[in-house]
Amino acid sequence: MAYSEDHIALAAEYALGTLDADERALVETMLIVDPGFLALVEAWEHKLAPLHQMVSSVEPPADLWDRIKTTIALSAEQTPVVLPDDKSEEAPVHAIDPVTLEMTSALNVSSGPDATSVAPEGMAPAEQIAPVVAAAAKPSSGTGARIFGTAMSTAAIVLAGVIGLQIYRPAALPAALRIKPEIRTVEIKTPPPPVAAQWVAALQSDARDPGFVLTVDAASRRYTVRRIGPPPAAGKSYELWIVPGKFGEPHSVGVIDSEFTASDGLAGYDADTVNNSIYAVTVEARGGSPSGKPTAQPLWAGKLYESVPSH
Amino acid sequence: MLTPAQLVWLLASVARGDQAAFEALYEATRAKLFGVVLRIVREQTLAETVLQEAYVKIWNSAGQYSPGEASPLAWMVAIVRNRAIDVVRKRADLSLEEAATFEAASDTPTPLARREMTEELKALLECVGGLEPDRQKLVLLAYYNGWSREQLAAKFDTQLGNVKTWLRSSLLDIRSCLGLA
Repeated sequence: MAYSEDHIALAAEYALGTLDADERALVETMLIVDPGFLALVEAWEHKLAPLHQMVSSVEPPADLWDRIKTTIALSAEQTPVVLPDDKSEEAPVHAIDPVTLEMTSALNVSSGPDATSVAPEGMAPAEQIAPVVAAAAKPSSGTGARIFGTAMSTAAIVLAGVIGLQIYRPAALPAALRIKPEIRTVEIKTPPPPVAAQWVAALQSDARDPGFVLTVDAASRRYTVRRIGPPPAAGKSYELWIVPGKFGEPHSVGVIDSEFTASDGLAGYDADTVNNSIYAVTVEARGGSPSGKPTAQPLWAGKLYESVPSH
Repeated sequence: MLTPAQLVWLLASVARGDQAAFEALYEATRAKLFGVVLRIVREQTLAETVLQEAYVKIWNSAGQYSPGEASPLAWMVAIVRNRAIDVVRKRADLSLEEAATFEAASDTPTPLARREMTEELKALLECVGGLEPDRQKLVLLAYYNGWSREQLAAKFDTQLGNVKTWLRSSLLDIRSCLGLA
C-alpha cells in the first residue's frame, strides 16, 4: 500500500531512533499488524546501518559470551516447562521466558548513565565529518534493503512481567468482592470492517509472537479481538483481562477463543480506564476462570494505542 | 572481520541451531556491535546487558534474516540499536534531568578513509552531505548517540517543534536522494 509522508517520516524516525518510548511502542504495534509498514521501517534501518562503519569497535568483557550461552541454553530448556497440557498437534503456546524477564526488569531499575566514563575512544567533533561527506564518491544504486522485524519486545515483556506479578499475587481480593462484568460474545464470520477512532493493542509475549490484536472503538468501547496464534488447547480457553492503572486488580472482560471475538465487555468502564489499562490474556479452564480471577500467568499482554498517530 | 558472504553463511548455520557457528558469529561481530551499543547506552553494565539480549535475539531470529535485503551486519546492527534505544528511552522517561550530561557526549565518530568505506556508506554520506550542516549533525548525532528529539533540542538549543520539523525534512530529503520507495 502507499504510505503517507507522515507514515514514512514516522518509520524513518523510528529507524533513526529519535522517537520517545510511547511513540516507539506505537510503531512496534504497527509493525505487528502491518507488514508493509514493517518493510518500510526495515528499509530505513538497513539504509542507515552502514553508518556503523565509522563507530570504533570496543571489546565486550570476556564473560559476556558465557552469559549469552547460558541464556540461550536456559530459554531452550524453559520451553517445555511452560507448554500447556496439550497432546494435540497444535503449535505450542509460547510463554514469557523468565530469564528474559529478569534481565529486562534489571534494566529498568538500572541507575542513570555515566556519560563520561565510557565514551569510546577515537571520537572526533561532528564537524570533521563534513570533508568526508564532501569527498564521498557518487552513490551506486543501493541494494534493496528491507525486512526484518527487530522491534517490539522489551516493552511488552516488561508489561507482561508487571502484570504477571499483579495478576498472580496471592493477596488478590476475594472473589465475592469482585464484580464479574456481563459478557456477550458473538462470533463474527468475517473480519470486521475498519472503523474510525480506534484504539489498538497487540497482545504479545515478544515481537514474533503477537497472540492477539485488540481493537477498541473509542466511542462505544466495544472491542474486537483477533486471535493470531493457535486456538486454545482442548479443555482450555483464552481469557482477556483488563488491568486498570498501575496496581489495579485484573477484571475479566471475556473469553476470546474464536478467531474473531466482538464484545461489549468493556462498556462498563469509562474511556480513561479503557485507554490507560493494560490488557492481558491467560489460559484458563474451558469457559474461563471459574473464580473470576486469573489462575495462571498471562502469556500475552499489551497497551492500547491510537491506531493513527496524532501530530 | 569476516566478509559479508562468510557472515551470511554463519547466520544460515545459526538459523539451524548451530552453536559453533553462533560462537564464530559472536567472535566476528561482538566488538563492532558493542561499540554501537556503548555509544548509545553509555554505561558499561547496561551496555553489556543490551548486547547480551541482542545476541539472544539474533540467535532466536537468525532464520528471519534474508541475504537479499540487507547485509548481515546491517541486520544485526538494526537489532542492537533498537534494543539499545528502547532501553535508553525507557530510562529517559524516568529521569529527564539526564539532559545535563549530554554535553560530554556531543560528538560523532572519526571519519573513515574513503577506501575503507563501502559503496552503501558513500551513497548515504553523499545524501547526508547534501543537507544543511546543522541538519547533518542532527541526523548523525541521532544515529550514533541514539538521542531523542528532546535531547537534540537541548543540544541545538531550540524548540522541540523545530527539531521535529528538521528531522522530518532531513529524512525525507535523504529518502529522495537515496531513491527509497
